[in-house]
Amino acid sequence: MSSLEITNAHKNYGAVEVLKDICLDVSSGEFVVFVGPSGCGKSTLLRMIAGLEEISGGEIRLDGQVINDTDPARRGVAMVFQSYALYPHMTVAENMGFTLKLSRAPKREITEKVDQAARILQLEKLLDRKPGQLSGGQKQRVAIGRAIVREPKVFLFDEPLSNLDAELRIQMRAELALLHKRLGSTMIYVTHDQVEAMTLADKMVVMNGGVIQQVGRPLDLYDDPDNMFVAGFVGTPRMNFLEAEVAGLNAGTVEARLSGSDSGLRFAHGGAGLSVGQKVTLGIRPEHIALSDHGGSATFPLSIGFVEELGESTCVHGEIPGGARVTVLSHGARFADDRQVHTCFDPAKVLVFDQQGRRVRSG
Amino acid sequence: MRLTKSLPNFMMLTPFMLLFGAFFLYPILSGFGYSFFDWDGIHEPAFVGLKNYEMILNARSSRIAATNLLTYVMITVPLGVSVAFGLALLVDHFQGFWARFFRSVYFVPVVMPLFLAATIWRWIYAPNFGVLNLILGWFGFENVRFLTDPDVMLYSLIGVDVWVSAGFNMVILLAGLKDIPRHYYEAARLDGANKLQEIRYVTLPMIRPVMIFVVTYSFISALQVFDIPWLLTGSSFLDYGGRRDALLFPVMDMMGRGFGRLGFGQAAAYGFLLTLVIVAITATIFAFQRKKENG
Repeated sequence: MSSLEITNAHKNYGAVEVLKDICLDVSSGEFVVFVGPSGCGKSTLLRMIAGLEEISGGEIRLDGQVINDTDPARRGVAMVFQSYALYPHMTVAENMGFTLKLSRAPKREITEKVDQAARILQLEKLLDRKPGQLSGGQKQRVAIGRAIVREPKVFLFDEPLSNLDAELRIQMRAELALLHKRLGSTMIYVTHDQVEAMTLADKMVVMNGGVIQQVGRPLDLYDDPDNMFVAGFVGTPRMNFLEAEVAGLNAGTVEARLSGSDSGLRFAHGGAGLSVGQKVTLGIRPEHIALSDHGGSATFPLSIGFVEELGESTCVHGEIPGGARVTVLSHGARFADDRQVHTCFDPAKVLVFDQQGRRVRSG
Repeated sequence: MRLTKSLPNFMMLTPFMLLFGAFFLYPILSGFGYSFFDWDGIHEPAFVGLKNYEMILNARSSRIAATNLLTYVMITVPLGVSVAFGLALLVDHFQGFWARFFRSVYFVPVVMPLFLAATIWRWIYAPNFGVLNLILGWFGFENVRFLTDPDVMLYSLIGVDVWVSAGFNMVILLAGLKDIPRHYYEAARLDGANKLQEIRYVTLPMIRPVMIFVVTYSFISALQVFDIPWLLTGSSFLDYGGRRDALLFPVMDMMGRGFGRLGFGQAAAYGFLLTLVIVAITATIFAFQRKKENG
């Protein structure tokens, strides 16, 4: 098992800086997931670790050794590509053993290692087939097998499940988690799917615009985001954001008035970094809002726009006074479209962000 | 009922079928017929059975032409395809302006009229003032008679042929190269392949269908070689093939027998023998390809 350190890494394409000052530590055996929207630089960062992209500045160290200029094959990394990248003219066994063949390993050793990887991934019966004769899931397993055969220090996965259908994706996700448990290897995984990231990661790296927004355990990022981007990106349905103005600061509580309405909201917050009259954005997750038919002192009326029945839960989308759109995740109760209900925000779960989108922590 | 339904389809095919029949099928069949006759184009054809075929197969000139052709094909096809493949790899390496520049430069010989290409090469190969002899002279080599020394003439022809055909084959191979997804090369790099291994294990297998087309096309073109040696040697229907028949090829021999000696029956028989050889070689290449695909 191996550790990876990235220090002040940059990547420029001409004058365009696509990755800025990336610093990251990946510990031995960790499953790290880079997550972010398309174009955020997560795949570029992975390819820089693999050696497929040059690093414009900074350092990448693997087990303490700088690998910036090391040939991809000598870095001790193996990569599973989004499109599998299995050589179509080779059989499954040939694909998996290709790296050993190139390194002139004895035939017996190649066969042994390929068989071993095939056993782990239940590919024994497919070894003589060509990639064209395999299903998407099988191809993905072969691609992982090819990586296993290399016995890398770090496994790199570039959106490996994005070509699979929803059901197979869930199945392969579980298989990947089990594989990580079994091999105990260091794995770095790129995805734009935050559910995939949340379920697989020991450590999640949320990226946007070529910058790491936050690094942490999935639930830490969910519960305690550093900024509005992370708060909005992590979690489905996404967090509700409401424009507001600080109306009062009391001991342990803050009173805010929602923009475009006279409605006020009182929530738990130390008040540090806030002042009366300051414009802020309040964030609250859909599951931290309760719905009821009856109003009260700390409730807002909600005009339901449409309802998504998800089976075990119901996602209610609507508008509160002032025009802000709110999504509420409700368990158990059923609601109809075009009616009015009342929302009650959990005051302990309201997050505050400043005008730059930075979290204003309770202090 | 079915015929009535298909009538419009047949009607639409009729113009092509008429032209095909008149200008392709009829000449082939009548040529095949003439191959069994002795005919000078003036007198009535006289049936001679397989005599024309016997004469061709036993003629000294046919044997020389076949030997020249064999040597020529064995060298020019692999060499021409290799040069084209090398150029395609080189051009593929460049982007934007330089890619367009090299593609255009290498394609110029393809669009150039053959007589012009031959004239240029006659000047390059000229014994005293030719560019090639001038350059060889700088390095202390003696004057080479590229177009009159029977031991050198075939190789001089191969040089011209590779120059003329490389651009066309390069463009086709380049299209094949552009079709290979980049991730295969990235996977190969991670697997530890060097540039040569990338070409061997990724590029060549991935462009196999294109390569087979280029090889087949080159074979067919090479088997019909006529115009370049004809122009290089300044041949006429009565005097062709160059010094000591060093550049005598079957198509040239066929034309000479037909239009030079007015033996159209022999020329027709020659044409059919050549067609059989071309069909046999093409069928063998296709069969080889099918076997590879299925295996």
